[in-house]
Amino acid sequence: MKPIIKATALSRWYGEVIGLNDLNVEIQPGITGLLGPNGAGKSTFMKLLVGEMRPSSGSLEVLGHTPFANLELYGQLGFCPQQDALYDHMSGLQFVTHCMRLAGHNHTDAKAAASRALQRVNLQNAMNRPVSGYSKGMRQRTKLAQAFAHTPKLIIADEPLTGLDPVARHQVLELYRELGESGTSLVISSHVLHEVQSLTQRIVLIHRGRLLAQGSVEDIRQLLSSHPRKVHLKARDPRALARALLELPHVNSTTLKEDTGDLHVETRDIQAFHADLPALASRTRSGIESLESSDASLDAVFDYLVG
Amino acid sequence: MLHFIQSAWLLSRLQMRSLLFSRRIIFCLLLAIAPIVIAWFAGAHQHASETVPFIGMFLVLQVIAPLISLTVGSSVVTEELENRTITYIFTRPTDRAAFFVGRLLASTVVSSILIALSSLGVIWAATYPREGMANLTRVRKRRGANEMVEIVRDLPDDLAVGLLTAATVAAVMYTLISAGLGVFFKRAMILSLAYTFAVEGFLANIPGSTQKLSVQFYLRSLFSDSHEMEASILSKIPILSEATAYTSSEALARLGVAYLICLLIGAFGIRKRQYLMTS
Amino acid sequence: MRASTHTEIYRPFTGSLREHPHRWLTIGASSVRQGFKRKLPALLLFTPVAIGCVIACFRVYFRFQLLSGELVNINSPGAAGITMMVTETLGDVVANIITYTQSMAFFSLMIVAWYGAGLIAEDRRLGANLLYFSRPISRLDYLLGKGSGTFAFGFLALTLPCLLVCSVAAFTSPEWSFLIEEWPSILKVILFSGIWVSTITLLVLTISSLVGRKSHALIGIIGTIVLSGGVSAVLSHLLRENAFSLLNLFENFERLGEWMFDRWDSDREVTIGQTLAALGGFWAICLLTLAARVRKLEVVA
Repeated sequence: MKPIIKATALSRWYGEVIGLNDLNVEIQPGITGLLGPNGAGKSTFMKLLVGEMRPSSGSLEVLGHTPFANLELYGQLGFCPQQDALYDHMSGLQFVTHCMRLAGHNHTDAKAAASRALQRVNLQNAMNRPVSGYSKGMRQRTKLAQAFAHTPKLIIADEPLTGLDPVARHQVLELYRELGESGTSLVISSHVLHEVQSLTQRIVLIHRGRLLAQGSVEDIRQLLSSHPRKVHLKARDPRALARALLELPHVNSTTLKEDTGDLHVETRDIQAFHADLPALASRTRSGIESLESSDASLDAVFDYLVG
Repeated sequence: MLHFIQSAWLLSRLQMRSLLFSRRIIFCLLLAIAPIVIAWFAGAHQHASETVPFIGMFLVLQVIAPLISLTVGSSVVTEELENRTITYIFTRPTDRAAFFVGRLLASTVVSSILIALSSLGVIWAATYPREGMANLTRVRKRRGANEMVEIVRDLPDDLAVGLLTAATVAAVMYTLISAGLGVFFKRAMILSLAYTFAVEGFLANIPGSTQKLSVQFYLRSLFSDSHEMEASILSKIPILSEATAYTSSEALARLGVAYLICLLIGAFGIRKRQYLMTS
Repeated sequence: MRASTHTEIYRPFTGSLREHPHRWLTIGASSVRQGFKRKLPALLLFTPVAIGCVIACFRVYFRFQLLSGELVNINSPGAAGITMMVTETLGDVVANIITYTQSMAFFSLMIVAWYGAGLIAEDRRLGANLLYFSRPISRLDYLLGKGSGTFAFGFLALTLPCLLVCSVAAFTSPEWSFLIEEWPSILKVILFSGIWVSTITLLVLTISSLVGRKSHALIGIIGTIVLSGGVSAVLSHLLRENAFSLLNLFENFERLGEWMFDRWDSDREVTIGQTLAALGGFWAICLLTLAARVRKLEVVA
């Protein structure tokens, strides 16, 4: 499959400050999470993707086009910027309609599309009010609406969940899932790791301007062989289980919490652990009640990689 | 081409609305009213044919028109950048040049109307007939008693037209200069200020050909060519007696060429330039 | 891995926090520090001041050296004539210092405008007034702080160079004659420059309080100066009434300087009383406007 975004030796610097450093990444169609700590280069990458800036070196292709000031690309691209900046004197409907008209649509079509987009983000009751009276969450949703109102092929959203309450977050994530299922590709940057993880397994991790990891969460975790895996078990007889587990060669340590009976196991080989565990549990009759791999999450991967 | 015009028109309307409801316009209105008030008071003591050229030349063309134009013109690019709404425009399939041209058009219309109205106000205030002592002025004589004479309120039509033309052209040119500086520089307002009062002030007031590098020189040509200089107070000012090197049509033509060149530079410049916004 | 221990000892604070009596000094100092963080504007703005100061110092130095006969051999033929010609060209030392002070007024205005224009305007734009007035800072503290910061730049631009020129004059004058005989002039120079810097500080802060951005404030300041000067000139000419020159800040200070340094031109139609009244009125308008605007800033906070 042809990648929608292809960066080759992509670098961008601001004077002496390096924003992106020799980034090589290909992003496939679908939903991709762009993750990284503050100052990692996510916003720089996104600004390059939407053609707000030119790369200092290297090349970048978005949907087969070089982004900077490329009118043909912009017809297929939607961008939800990070900054909270709107035309305060306009209503939400006027703003999204205006954006649609700048995309070349006539007034009637633009207004209809804007209205549909604002309904999808649950702003149908507020769309005729001036934006200056909107809450932060409403402003964020207005920005989202203008990003997808013209049904682009690719939406780039820079921290789109900022300022949204939990209900709104859930609704927006649902919206992104629907857009993804309808064939629109999305690149979303966020700090809310578990929500990105709920949306997509494909992540691109950036740190200090460099690509740290790319792929599914599980694939990345597999690559982190230097970090033992942690498994959390609940059992009727955790002591017996712990004693037995310590005999296994790939188990580094076990930690037993007396009050809760939780057993935390650290193992160097998760595959072998899962293979050995049923026989062990049967032999010790410890009665395993639950099993959880607590560091397979994105947060844990993020912590390991970024440190 | 059609989409270019449509986008330019859309952005022009947005800019017009934004300007008319902004605080800048209050400042510009106050500036535009100032010469009218002065002309009203001066008109009670002086002939219109002295008041209008003096206020027109030294206040309207050299102070009011540049100040209004740069206040309005510097908002063409800089305002969108400072508000960080430029992202929405630059990520649409809209030519960036349409953004520049559209917003410039709106700014030019607003500044031209304000300055033209200000000039008309000056003409009206200087020529408005008043009753009683306001229609007479004391003429001081060297020998003998001072006498009261009637203030002449007639103004030659060509003088009025000349001022109106020069003021409107000033608005158009200075708005473009401010807008053009905004394309290339962050602090467009400050640079426009420096250009208008330092650079132009220097170039336009030094005797010699360097005057031709300033907009003021052509504005003076437009104004002074419109009426008999010899009969006007302006002929008493040495620097201005050199200002009639060009006729009105020559001055307009040269300014027109300069305008087109600056417009093209601005339009192409905005297409190529990157605008970095801090988060 | 060897275990190691790390001990931190915390003792409870049993004293009392001393209140800083002059909070405005903190605001002023931070304004100055912030202003000098960027080197390029300082270089561009202070260079003409520095050049003017150096030239004035040399003029004063040469004047005294010529008078004392150290530069020219007074016994050589024609020396007396040359000395007299040059000293006449260089002029009186006090006159030199006064001319220097007045000529640097424009540059000091530029410096004060550049550094002071954004002090209140940017606070409003960035919401920093919320931070200031959530501290135990009064409106007076805030105003004094901003004013002192702006004044400091004007002091560096005008008063300090004037003091430097006076110092050079004092050191190079024979037997400290300049210091002994002309000490009132030195005090007057300090006072005059102080009044000028205070006046432009007020103007700059007033306009800064009325607008929302530094660039708008700069336009406002330059516009006010240019417009008042232009209006004053136009009205004076058209109405044949020199009283309109009271609208021009530079002309007012020119008259004030003439009066303070006993060089008052008796042919002037505008009296010193009118000049002082105009300046007083200007100060009153600025102070009232500032008080109202800062109150609004505090209320919003």
